Amino acid sequence: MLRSVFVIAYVTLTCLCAHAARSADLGELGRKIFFDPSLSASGRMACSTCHDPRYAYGPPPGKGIARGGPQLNRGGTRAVPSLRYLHDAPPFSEKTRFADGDVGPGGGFTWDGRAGTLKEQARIPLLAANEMANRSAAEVVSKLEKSHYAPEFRQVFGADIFKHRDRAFEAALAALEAFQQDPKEFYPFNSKYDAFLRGEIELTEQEERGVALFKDPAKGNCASCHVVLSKRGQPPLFTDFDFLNVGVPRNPRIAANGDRNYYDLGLCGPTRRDLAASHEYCGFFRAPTMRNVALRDTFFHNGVFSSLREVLDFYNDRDLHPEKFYSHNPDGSVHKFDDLPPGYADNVDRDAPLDRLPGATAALTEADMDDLIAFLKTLTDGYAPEPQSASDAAQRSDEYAWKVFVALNKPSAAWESWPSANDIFRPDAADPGPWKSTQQPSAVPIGSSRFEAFSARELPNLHRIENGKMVVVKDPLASASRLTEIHLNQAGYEYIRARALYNVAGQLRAEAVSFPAATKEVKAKWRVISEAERSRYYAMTVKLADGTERLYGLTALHLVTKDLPTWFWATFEHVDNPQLPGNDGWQAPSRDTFACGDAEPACNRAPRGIGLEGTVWENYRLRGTLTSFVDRAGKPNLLANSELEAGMQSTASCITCHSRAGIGTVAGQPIRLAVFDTSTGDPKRGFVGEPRPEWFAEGRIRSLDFIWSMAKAR
Amino acid sequence: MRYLMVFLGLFVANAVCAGDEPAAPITNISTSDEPATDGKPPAKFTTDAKWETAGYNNDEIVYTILVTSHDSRIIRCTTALQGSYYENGQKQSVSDRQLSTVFPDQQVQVGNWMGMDQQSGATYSVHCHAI
Repeated sequence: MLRSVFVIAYVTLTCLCAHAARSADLGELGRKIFFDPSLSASGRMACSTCHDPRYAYGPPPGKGIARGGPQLNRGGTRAVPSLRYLHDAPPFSEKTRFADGDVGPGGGFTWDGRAGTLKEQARIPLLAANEMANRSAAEVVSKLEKSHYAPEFRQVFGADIFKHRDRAFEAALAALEAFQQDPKEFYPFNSKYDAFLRGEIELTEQEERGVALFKDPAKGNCASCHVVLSKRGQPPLFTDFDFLNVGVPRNPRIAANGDRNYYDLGLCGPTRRDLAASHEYCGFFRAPTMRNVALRDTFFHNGVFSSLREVLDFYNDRDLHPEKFYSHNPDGSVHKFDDLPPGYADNVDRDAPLDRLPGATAALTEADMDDLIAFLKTLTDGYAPEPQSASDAAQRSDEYAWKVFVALNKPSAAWESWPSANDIFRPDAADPGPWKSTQQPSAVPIGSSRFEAFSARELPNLHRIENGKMVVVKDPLASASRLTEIHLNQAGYEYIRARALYNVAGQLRAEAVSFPAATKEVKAKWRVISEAERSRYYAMTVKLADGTERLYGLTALHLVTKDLPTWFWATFEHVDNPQLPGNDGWQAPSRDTFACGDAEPACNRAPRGIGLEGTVWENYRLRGTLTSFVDRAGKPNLLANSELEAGMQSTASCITCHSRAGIGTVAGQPIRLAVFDTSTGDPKRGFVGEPRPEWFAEGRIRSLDFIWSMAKAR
Repeated sequence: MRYLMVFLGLFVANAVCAGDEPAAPITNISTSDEPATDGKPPAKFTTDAKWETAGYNNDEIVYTILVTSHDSRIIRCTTALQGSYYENGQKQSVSDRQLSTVFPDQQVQVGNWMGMDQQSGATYSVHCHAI
C-alpha cells in the first residue's frame, strides 16, 4: 500500500516537473523567437524591434510608428503599443461590464481588440505586409527551421515538428504567448507607485496631487477608463480594456493618411472587419494601460502626439481651442475631429475633461498638468529607491557606486527630471519654488535650462577658425559638440530652498551649511554621436536653434551623495571615451573592485547580475570612488573623469576641489575661492590632498558643504 | 561657478590689444580717424578688448571686442582683427574684419573669436563714422 502511494506520488511529481520544464522551455523558446530578426522578410525586424524591452516592450524613441516590409520602407498605420500588462485582458466582448456598471465593448488585444489571445495577436505582425512581411505561415516556419534555436524547437515540440508547417507555426505562436506570460518581463508591478501601494515609500507632494487629479471626475477623470482599483488582489492595471473615441486629430505622418478617403476607425474597420456595420463603434480604440506611459513618445492609436504634455493639453483644450490640434477646412474654419468621416462626431467622448463648451474654464491648470505628469512617471517599471547608506558608501564603495548608478539610471535616467543647477540658482535670484520633477521632451531644446550655458559657444556673434579663416558660427549653440548638466535631487533641493541658499544673500546669511544625508547631485556630460552609435549610448535628441535635431550620447557621469560628511564621490564613463578624438585617454586606470574583484580592479568590465546586461548601461564603467582626501600614507587621493576633468586628470580630486566651495566677503563684495590652483602658472591645475586651514582663515570664507554649483547663485 | 570662472579668466588675462590708441587697456574716448568729409564732426566712441576663458573646464579661450558709442548719432564701425593660432604645431596668422552699427550711447559686442592663441596676442583697430 505504502509502496503504491510512493509510486503514485513519484509519477505525479515527475509529470508536474516535466510540465514545468516544458513551460520554461516554451517561454525560453518564445524569447528567442521574439528577439530574432531573421524571421522577417527584411531580416532586420524582430518583434523586439518595435516592442523594445528597454521601453516596457513598447517602441523606442522615434520609432512609435514603425516602418516594416521587405525593404523596411512600408509605413505603419498605428502607434506601436506596449506589450506589458496585457496578461489580464479579457477576450473581446461587446457586452463587457465595467466597474462603473456600464456595459459595452471591451477586451481583446491590439488597438481594435480583434485578437482574442496573445497567440492570435502574435500572428498579426509576422504576416503583416508592413511589419515582418512574411507571405505565409510556411515561410515563417522555413525561417524557424534555419534558426540557431531550431534544435530546441524540435526538442520542445517533437523531432518532426517542421514537417507539419501549420502545427509548427502554431507552436511558434504558443511559444511567443508563453514568453509574454513571463511576469518578470511582462507584468513586473515594480513601479514607484507599486512600491507606494506596498507601503514601502511615500509619494512626493506633487505626485500625490497628481494621483488626486487622475482620479477626480471633474478634473483629469483619467481613472474612469484607466482604472486605479486593484482587482483580485492584483495591483491596478490602469486600464479596464474599455473602448472609446476621444476624437484625436489626424496624424499626417502616417503614410496611409495621405489618402484623404482613408480613415482608421478602430472597431468598425478597416483593419477589423466583423463590426463594420456597427457605426456607433466607429473611431473606438481600446484604452491602453497608463503603466510605463512616460517611456513613450507616441500617444493614442495614431501616435499623433509626442509628449504627455501634448496629450494633457489635448484633453484640456480639445473643445476650448480646437484650432490648436485640428487641421483647417478650405474656408479657414477648424476641421474638428478631422480623423473621422463626416457624420461620426456624435461617437466622440464628452465626459470630463472633454465636456467643455467654448468659453468655459479648462479643467486643468498648467500646474495640474505638471502634477499629473509627475504621477504618471511613478508608473514606470523598474523603480529602485535612491539608496542611502553611510556604511555601504564607506566600506563597499564600488558596489555602492553601482547601486546608486542603477537606482538613478534604470530604467531611464531619473536624474534628468531633477531640477538643474540653472533651475535652482535663477538669474533673478528668486526662490525656485516647490520641488517638481520635469518631463523632458522627446527633443530637448538646446537652450534648455538643464544644460550648463557656460560655454563660449553660446556667445552672440561668435567666430571660429575654419581652414585658416575666421567664419561666423551662425547658431553658436549648434556647434556645441559636448553638453554638460548638473542636477540636484529633492532632498538637496528642499534644503537649499528652506535656507534660501539659492541666492548670494541667503548664502552669506547661512550658518553651518550641511546637506541632509539623502542629498544626491549628478553631473553629466554628453557628446554628439552618430545614429550608428545610438545602440551603445544612453542617448537624447537635442533640438537646435534652427529646428534641426542632433543626437547626443551620455559620455560621463559624476554621482555624488551625502552619505558621508565629506560626501561620497563616484564617477562613470562610457567605455568608448578613451578612443574619442580629443580625449586624453584614461590617465589613471579604473578601479572597480565590485565588477572586477580585488585582484584585478582595472579589468574594464561592467558588473554582472545587477540588471545591466542587454542595456546601454553595460557600456559604462566605474572609474573609481573617493571617500577621503588622502590615503593611509597621506598621499592625495585622485579621481578623474577623462571627459569632465579633461586636461587636468593628473591633479583632479573631486573631494578636495569641492571642499573649496564656499563664500565670504571682501569690502562688502561676495568672494569665493578659485576652482584652479594657478600658483604654478598652470591654468588647469586642481587642488589635491587635505583642505588647508588658510583657505578658510579667520572665517573669511565659509564652507558651502562641497556644492560648487552654489557659486552660480546671484 | 561659471561667473567665478569668468572673473578668474578676466583676472589672469594678459591681453595684447591695440586699437587706434596705445596698447590695452583701451578705454579712452576716441574719435574717428577719418576726417569728416561731409562737414559732420567725427564719431565719439571707446573700444575695449579682452581675452575670456570659458567652457566647463575653462578650456575655451575667446577674444572679445566691444565698442561703446558716446555719440548722439548712429555710428558705423569697421573693426579689423589680427591674431594667431596653431595648426599641426605650426603657428599661423588669422585675421577678420567686421562691420557694426552702434546706436547712440549703446555698446555692441563686435564679435567673439574662438581658437586664437592667447600667448601670441592679438591686435585690432576700430574705425567709426557717423551715418
